Parts: sequence; structure tokens; C-alpha cells
Amino acid sequence: MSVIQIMPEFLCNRIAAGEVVQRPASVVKELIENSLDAGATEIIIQINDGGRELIRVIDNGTGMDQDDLLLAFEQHATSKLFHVDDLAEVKTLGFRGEALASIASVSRIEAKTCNNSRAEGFRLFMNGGKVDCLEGVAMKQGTSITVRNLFFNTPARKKFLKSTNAEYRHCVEIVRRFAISRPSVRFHFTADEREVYRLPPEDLSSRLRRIFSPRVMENCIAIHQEEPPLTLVGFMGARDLVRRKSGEQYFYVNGRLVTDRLMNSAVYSAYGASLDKGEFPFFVLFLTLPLKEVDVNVHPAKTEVKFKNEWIIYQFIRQSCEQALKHWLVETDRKETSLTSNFQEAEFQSLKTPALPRLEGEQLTFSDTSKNSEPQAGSKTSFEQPSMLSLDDRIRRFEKSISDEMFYSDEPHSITIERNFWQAHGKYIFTQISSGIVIIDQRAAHTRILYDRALKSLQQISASASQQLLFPISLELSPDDYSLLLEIIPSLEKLGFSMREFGKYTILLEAIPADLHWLEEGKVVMQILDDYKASRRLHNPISEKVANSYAERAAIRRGEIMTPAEMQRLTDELFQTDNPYMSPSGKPIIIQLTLNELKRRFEER
Amino acid sequence: MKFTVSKNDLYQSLQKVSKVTPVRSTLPILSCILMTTKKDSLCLRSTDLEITMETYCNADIIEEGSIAVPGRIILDIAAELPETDLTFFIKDETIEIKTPLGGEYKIAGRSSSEFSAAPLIDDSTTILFSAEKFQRIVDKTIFSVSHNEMRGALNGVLFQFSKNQLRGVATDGHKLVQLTYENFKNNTLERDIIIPVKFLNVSVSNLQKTGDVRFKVGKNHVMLETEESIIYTRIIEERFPDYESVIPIKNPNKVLVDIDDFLSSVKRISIFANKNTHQIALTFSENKVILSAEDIETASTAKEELPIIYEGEPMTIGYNAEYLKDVFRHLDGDKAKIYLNTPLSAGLFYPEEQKEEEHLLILLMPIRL
Ligand SMILES: Nc1ncnc2c1ncn2[C@@H]1O[C@H](COP(=O)(O)OP(=O)(O)OP(=O)(O)O)[C@@H](O)[C@H]1O
Ligand SMILES: [Mg+2]
Repeated sequence: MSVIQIMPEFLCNRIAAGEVVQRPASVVKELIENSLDAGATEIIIQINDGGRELIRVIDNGTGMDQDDLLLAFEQHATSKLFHVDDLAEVKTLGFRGEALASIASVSRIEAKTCNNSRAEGFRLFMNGGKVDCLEGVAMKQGTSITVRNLFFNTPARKKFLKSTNAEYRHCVEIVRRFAISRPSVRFHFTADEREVYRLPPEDLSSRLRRIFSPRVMENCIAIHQEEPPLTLVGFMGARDLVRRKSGEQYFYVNGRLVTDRLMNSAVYSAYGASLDKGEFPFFVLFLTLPLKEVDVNVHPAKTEVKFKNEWIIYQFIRQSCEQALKHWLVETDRKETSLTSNFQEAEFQSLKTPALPRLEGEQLTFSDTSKNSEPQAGSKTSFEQPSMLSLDDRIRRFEKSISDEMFYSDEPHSITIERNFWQAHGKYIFTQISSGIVIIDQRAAHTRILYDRALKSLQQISASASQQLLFPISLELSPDDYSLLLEIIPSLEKLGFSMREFGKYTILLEAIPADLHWLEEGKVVMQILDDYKASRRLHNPISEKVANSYAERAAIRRGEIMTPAEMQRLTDELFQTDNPYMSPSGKPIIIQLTLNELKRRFEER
Repeated sequence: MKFTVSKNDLYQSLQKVSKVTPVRSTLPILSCILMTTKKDSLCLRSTDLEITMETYCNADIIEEGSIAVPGRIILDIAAELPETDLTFFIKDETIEIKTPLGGEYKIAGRSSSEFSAAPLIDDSTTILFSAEKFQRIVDKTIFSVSHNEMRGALNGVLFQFSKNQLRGVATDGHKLVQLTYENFKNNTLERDIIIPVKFLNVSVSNLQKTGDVRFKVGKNHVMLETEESIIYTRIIEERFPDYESVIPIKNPNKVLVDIDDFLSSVKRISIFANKNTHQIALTFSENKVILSAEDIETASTAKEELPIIYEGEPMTIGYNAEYLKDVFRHLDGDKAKIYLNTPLSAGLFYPEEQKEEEHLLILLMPIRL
């Protein structure tokens, strides 16, 4: 009884048409997709000579009966899509009924399949799309498809193949993508009889650890964000994993790997200015959403999708990633002191602590996720918690962390704790918190404050308060710079700069943001312009670039002496920002030294 | 080198010169005070390379010489000693201080050759004018000097000496003060010089309140002589911005307010202003001004009303409250006149009654609300 049907013509016409098989890796991709669609839990992949000579994919899926085996290689034959309506909600990786037919037409095929436990299977040989022979064979349930001499009958195509090595790397990449997307499936991959991957069923983080180096996972942040009906799960690499080349961005939509520039840029922009142009962060992200919200039928290779509401998705991804990144610093910080952290937690637990102060609180939940091999489980709350804290809560928590000192400290004298601030080298602010001391980079902190404030003013309709200048500053520009400046003037005006045209390519700066009292006004505008020029190819919006550069340029300089009151204010304002731990350019703002860490260091022989 | 000096005399002189000594310095010699014997006195000198100050105190010179003494330690011991004679013996670079009661203190000094020589003021012109005027110019203008060390000309007060006029001007680009003395008798010096703030501060605190000050102005330096001390500084050699052209001429809106009432109202309102911009709004209409502030970040607002005399169109203008407080603190008398044009142009602030032969004007740029 066959389940595969030939599609009616009008349905075929609705399917994005195009070349399916471009290189060995395309074959590998289609075969693995079929195995996964057939419910396989074990997939063996073998290639020889980069896949030119042989590609074999063996699975333990449902298998096919005799009729289906023959039908499977017909054009537009599929068991996955029968109605036009189904096209709106494709559940399987395949749906075109194209792949096997296309592959068969340019190679020599040996297909074996069995759909029963009686070992009654069939073997089919094909040559350039024509059936050579069909015979019975004894085999376990599952399917094995062997593709030999790819493009033997299309020499032009064959000429386009790259070196064995290059084709091999493409194949590895394809296998890797599937291995990541289905960690519960066992994969075994050999190339020229040498083992490339042997991956047992496991969870995502151990799968990633096996596929990438353990170092990669150490520098990754787990994400689990749910905003029904959307879910985003996965890992993002910290700054250390940023590459000059793209290629380590794994973005899956409902289990299907897709390349989506917009969504990639959502992720990139979450990294903010810490990402330069031409830099690509590592990430593995799984987006789940209702099938009807996404159209998979847009590209013949099934590697692109179209979202119904792409901006909602964009925002969701971006915000989720931003939130996750906010904490990487804390996490890495934690890892550095991981020797003591377990001990410390135990200690905390033994003291009855109803609500942990903010700094500790976040770190505790965080270290949970970093240790937890199942990222989905523990991490959810840890990300939601801080984001749900209101401003007041944050301040209260920080405040509390200071007042709690007396309960946590093992030193009897420290009962009277004042919130002291001490500045070192005109650069760093030291202050005490319950679990130790924190060191704040004053410039990075101020940058963060200005950045947040700038972003806020950029979102407002009206411009910010702006101090008029007694001596307006004229800026002479090159024609290029002039036109660039015109692009950012709306943003600058919102920040509180005010300028007007003053002769050819000359701008008169008449006012500056009212909260900056000591700037070299003209210089700042020129610097922002330069930054903007340099960041033209970045993905984030203009306003963000301007905010970022403004914050960098206007922030308090290193070496600036601050009074205790100023330090207090800076710290207070810092904790009102969205992310007190990381400057907009991705540099740490706060370093924490726990008492245990200090103790450990002093007592180390 | 050997001399005897009264502790009180020495202490007073040390306190004076140490005002110039830099708080932090990478050059250890700058934290020293140079002691040089003169005929019947001891000359103390300190410098921060920008400013140099010399002061004299009576001393019994037994053997001549010169030595650089660590400033902090000599000041501290002088502070703790009762009034007594102190005898200093200096051999090589060791300073030994003895009191008649048998106290002996020894410290290591530095060679006087490490100390830079006092600047030579050649081709100088001397001008004498009342200490009071000098003091007043400094008092009225110094708050407007730019605190940003990179601003060059704006880091000092411009002194404009002309035939019949002396004027002091300071600005940080947001506010400007101009104090003018008419009928200024001056035949010797016609020149604009920008004098660094620190020099003015040190000078004023050393100055007698009456009598004349003697200004010696050379090519690159200016020197101020009082009875016991001399202070030198480099002149800021940069162009002062053309401030006269930015003073608006047409100001149709005229306000007359009570200075104390207005200032205390601003002080209260500013508590509720945004802590970063300090912006407050003044709404002028016939017979009243409404002062108001709001801070969205802390959800605070404030509003007060004051009676005034107002001539002109109703208008609202924003100012940095901190600046406004500064302005009103520097206006003498009971009432102030404010002349305004538009909410974006400079406001002119005057005391209602100017002092005799004196004209004070403060300019403040608004904040666009
Ligand atoms: N490994 C397999 N195990 C079981 N059935 C398979 C397997 N491979 C292919 N089939 C059957 O063969 C049919 C045709 O496969 P083919 O890959 O050509 O098309 P498809 O998967 O339906 O769509 P697409 O062209 O998008 O891949 C499938 O619909 C499926 O029923
Ligand atoms: Mg398929």
C-alpha cells in the first residue's frame, strides 16, 4: 500500500522551483532530511572523495514498501504534502517530492528499504534516473540510500565541483547542522572510512560540546525565552567567540536550519556596538512558532523562510538575545571564581536568606544554568527574573545587598557599614557589597548611563533639553561628511545638539545636550560623525550608532577625579540602567571580588 | 646654611606659599618649598611650574644658603610647635631644626639647584590699581571661568586694560560675566591679558584688602606684588572669543525681580529639577514669574510664583538652575534687571543699581526646553 502520491500539477506549480542538487553536500542534506522525516533515531552517513564517488545515508526510520520505493524517485512524488492547504503548515523538512528524483537523475543510485520487522526489504538500482533493477533483500527496518558518481552524466556540472577537500567541508557542515538540530538522534559520520562524528543521543549542550570545542561552550550563554506563541532556545557565544568570518551562526526555525539575514541581524544588533562590522558572533538558536506563521516554500533549497510578522519576530529575537547577553559578564565572572562558588552557595543556603540581594541573586541563578547540562530547564527563570525587576526593585536590591552586609559578614567589626566609595587612579571606583567588593570602571559606567539616556531621548518625539551656546561653533565639512552629517542630524538633535546650515558645507553648532557641561562641543560632533562613518556597514539602526558613539565620546574620561558624592551618583545611575554589567561596547563595567575569592587568594600558600 | 626664625612668622609664610604647591605631582621637587636666605630675611618659594610664589619672613641669618625643604613635613611640624625660635642648620641636604627647649628634628631636603629659577620678567610694564577693584573683578568673574582644562582662553579671566577703563571678563561658553570700571586712570598699560584662575585665587587670598596692588606685566608673564609676597604666572596666550559681538542689543522684554526672593525660589525649585540637566523654566507674564521644574526620571515637579515687574510679551525660557543660582549670587543690591529677547537667546542680568563707576553684566544662555 503506497503512501507516496504524485502531486497534481497545480500543486507542483505552487512549489518554489529550482535546482535541488548543486554539490555533494546538497545530496547529503536531502538524504538526512528524508531520514529525519521518516522518524529515524539513528543515521549513518558515509562519503568518499568528498561525496563525488559515494554518498550513503542509512537510517532506522519507517522505511518504504515496494511501490513507494519506486514512486519515491518519481518527480513530484511525496508522502508529505497532498493539499494546497498543507503548504501553509508544513511539518516535515521535505515537502516538494523533488529531492530523490533530482538526485537520481544525475547519479547512480542503490536504494534499500524495509518497512517491517520481518526483514523483508527491497533493493532498487537506478542509473541516471532510469530503473535498472528491483529485487527483494533481507534487511533491518529502515532505509539506506547510496549515491554514486554524482554528476556522471552532466560533465558541465561536475566541472563546477570544488576540490575534494572543499566538498568534504561542505558535507561536514551539513551533517553538523543536522546534528545540532537533533541532539536526540544518533549520528555517525565517516568520510573515506575515517570517522568524523560519532554522536550518541544527548542534550543540546553536550551535543554542542562534542561538535565544537569545550571552550566554545564555556563561553556560551544559554537562552530560553518564551513569549507565547514564540519560543527561543539555544546558546549565544560571548565576545570571545566573535569571528571575522560568518558561518557559525546556526538559526533554526521549527527545527529547520535557515539563513535569514534579518534574523541574524536581530542577533547581531543584540550584541550592540561590541560587534564591529565584519564581525560575527557564534550562536545556535532555535525559534519555535506556529507553523502557519512561517512560510517555508520560498526557496528551492528550503533554506529560507518567510515570516508573516517578521518585525515581531525580529524584536522578540533581539530582545531575548539582549537580555541573555546582559548576563554573560556576570556568568564569566562567576566562572572565574567557580572554585569557591559552590562552597559559597552552600554557605548562603545555610543562612536563611529569603531574598538574595541582586548581585548575588543573579549570579546564583546563573551559575545554575552554567552547570546545568540541560539549558532549557533551569535557565528560564534566571532570565526572566532580572528582566521583570522594576527599577525600584533593582535599587532596593542593591541597597539591600549593602545593608545585608551585617548578616552575612563573618567579621564582627563590620556591623556599621557605610557605603564608602573610593576612587583609584582616577579610573576605578571601589565599593563594598555584602559578598565582597565591587570595582567599577568609571568611564565604562558613565558610557552605559549616557548610552541608555541617549537611547531614551532618541525614542522620544521631542528633542532633549539643550543648552544654547554663547559662541556657536562652525564646523567645516567635506561634501561627503556633510551629507553623512545630514543623515545623523535628526538623531543628534534629539540628543540635544542643535545646528543649522551656515554656508556651503558648513554647519553652525548652536546648542549641546544640557546634561553635558564641560564638553568640547565641536569635537564631539566631529567624533560622532567619524564613528558613524566607520560604522556605516553595521546592522544596527542609525539612532543606536549615534547613541553609542555619543556615549563613548561624552563619557567621563579616565583620570577624572570624582568626589564621593559623584561616585555615589554614578553608581546609583548605573544600577538604573538596563545593563549595569556591560558597557554598550561590550566591555565589563563591574568586577566583583567575593570575600571567598579574596580569602582564597590570601590563603593560597 | 644656618638661620633662626620665629615659629609664628615661619608658619604664616609657609601657609601662604604652600597654596601654590600642587596637591599631586609627579615631580617630587614641586612638593618642596625653597628656602633662601636674604639679608635680614628668609625667602620662601613654591611653584607648580605655572605659578610661582615668593614670600619673605624675618629671620636672623647666621650663614647664607639655599635649600629645598619637603613642604608637608615642615608645615606639619610648624603647626604643632608652640611659638618659639627655631634654628635651622643645613648641611649638605640635611636639615636640622632645633628649639630652645631641646627639640631636635631632622629631615632630608633636596638641592636648591633642582628648583627652577624664578621667571624673568623683562620688558615689563608696571601698573598700580586698587586692591579692592582687583579683588572685586576676581570675585565677580571667577565663577564663570571654564572648568574644562582644555578650553585654553576660557580657563582664565580676561583683564582688559585700556586708557580710561579696566574690564574683567570670564566665560565658559554658557555664561559670561563682564565687570567694567570707568574712569580708570591708566597711562602705562593698554593690553588684554588672560590670567589663569589659580593665580587669581592664590593672589586674592594673599592680598591685603586696601591699598594698591602692583601688577607687573611682561611678555609672557604677569607678576603681582604685595607687601610681603610676589606671585608670578604665565599668561594664557590664546585668543579670547569675541564676546562683545554675542551680547544681544535688542532685548524688548524687561524684568525687575527681587534678588533674594528669586534666588531662594530657584533654590527650592531646583531640588525638583532633573539632576543631569538642572533645567528649570521661567514663565514671565505681566506682574509675575512662574518658576517650575519637572523631572520625569523621579516623577517630581515643583512650581512657584513670584511678583515681578514685567514689560514685554509673555514668554517661557529655560535655564540651568545651577547657573541661575550662580548668576543671582553675584548680583549685588536688592533687585535685579533681566533683559530678554527670545527663549533661545542670551539673557542679560544686571543689578538694578550699579555701584559707582562700575558696570556689571552677566549673560546666561538658556536651555531649549
Ligand atoms: N529515508 C526515507 N525513509 C522513508 N521514506 C523515505 C525516505 N526517503 C524518502 N522517502 C519517501 O520518499 C518520498 C520522496 O522523497 P523526496 O526527498 O524526493 O521528497 P520529499 O522528502 O517528500 O520532499 P523534498 O523534495 O522537499 O525533499 C518522501 O515523501 C518519503 O515518503
Ligand atoms: Mg526529501
